[in-house]
Amino acid sequence: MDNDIEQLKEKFPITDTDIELMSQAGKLLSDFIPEFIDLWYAWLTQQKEFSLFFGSNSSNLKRVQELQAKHWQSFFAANINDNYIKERRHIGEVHAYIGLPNDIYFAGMSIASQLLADELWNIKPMPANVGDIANSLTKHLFLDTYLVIDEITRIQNTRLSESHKAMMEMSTPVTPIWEGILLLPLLGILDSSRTQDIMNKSLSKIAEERTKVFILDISGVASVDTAVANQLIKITKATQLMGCNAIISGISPAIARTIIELGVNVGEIKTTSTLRDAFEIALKFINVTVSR
Amino acid sequence: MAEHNGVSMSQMNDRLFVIFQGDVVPETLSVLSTDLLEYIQTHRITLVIFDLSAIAVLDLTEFNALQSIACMIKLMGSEIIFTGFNPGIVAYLISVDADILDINIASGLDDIDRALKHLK
Repeated sequence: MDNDIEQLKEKFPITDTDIELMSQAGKLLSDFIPEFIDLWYAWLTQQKEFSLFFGSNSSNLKRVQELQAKHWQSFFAANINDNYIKERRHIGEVHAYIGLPNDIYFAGMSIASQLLADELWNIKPMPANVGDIANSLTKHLFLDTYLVIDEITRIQNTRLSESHKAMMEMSTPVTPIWEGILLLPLLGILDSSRTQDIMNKSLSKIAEERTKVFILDISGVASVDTAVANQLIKITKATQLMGCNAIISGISPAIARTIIELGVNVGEIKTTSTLRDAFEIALKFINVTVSR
Repeated sequence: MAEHNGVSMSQMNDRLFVIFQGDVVPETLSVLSTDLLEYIQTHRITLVIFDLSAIAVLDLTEFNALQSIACMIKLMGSEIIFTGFNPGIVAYLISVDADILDINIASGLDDIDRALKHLK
């Protein structure tokens, strides 16, 4: 972790001199912080996001303003350690949780930077190294902004991968419809990653259920090209290797024409135009007669 | 089903007889395939019989077009049997190495049931 912090400081690049300059800035601006927070919130109240996130909840606003005073104290202390990073990441976590748009956060940081720099340059008597102080301030603001945004991105990526996982789960509903008959209705667009997932799930389910017939219904597949057709054939052949009779159902006239025109060789795989026909064949395979 | 030049069709139970009369033009076959496949799906046809006994001349392109339709029909889950090849056409198809191994053939309409027992 210490190594990570050192790398981060090196990247931005924050030196020991910058940290000393930040401490100097903290002393010069300490009296200004309460006014700075008031000015910053005066700007925020003009933004449409203010009413959206604070509404008429004045106690919440007061609590956030107090937290912000503490935040700026820690900012000027510039003690970049685990706790410092954790605090910034927590801000990102809260922003991600409430769904704060990035533009208002960046705009807010820009306003904060401008207010602090204006005050710094107007201090009388002006310190000789005011330029260096302003420069260090900017570096630290960028670091803070990065830490917050990085956390938001991390949370968004986690959410995205979780929902992708859930989608993948839902998109492969391998269901036993009769003893020994497994149905997989496919919907939407097929790509290689989805095909791999379909293959894995189907094969495990076939082994688990001791399936005799596997029906792959493609009536819901948006389009079939050479790649998709070959993937379907691959799945079917794999199920056959598991000792299962495979049927591809839902072949529409358009799909039949496409497959033949593309020259895809379906070999010995049984195909039908409707799921009903496939089910009838499947019942015959397992020697089941249904009578009215 | 739409009318097609030189092709007549009749359905008996779940069997569809497609009788080709005169020349088989690939363009006609392309239009025919669309209607035929939709008809098969709508009427749940399980067996399609292509009767070529009225065809005197059939080149490789025309044969390949017919075979493509046969493959499409098979993909739709129906069986397809060709019947009525005249000896001249057969001799020509063999001489040009046409791929005839995968098609089901009956010698005449009365041979359909036998061919059905030996489907490829």
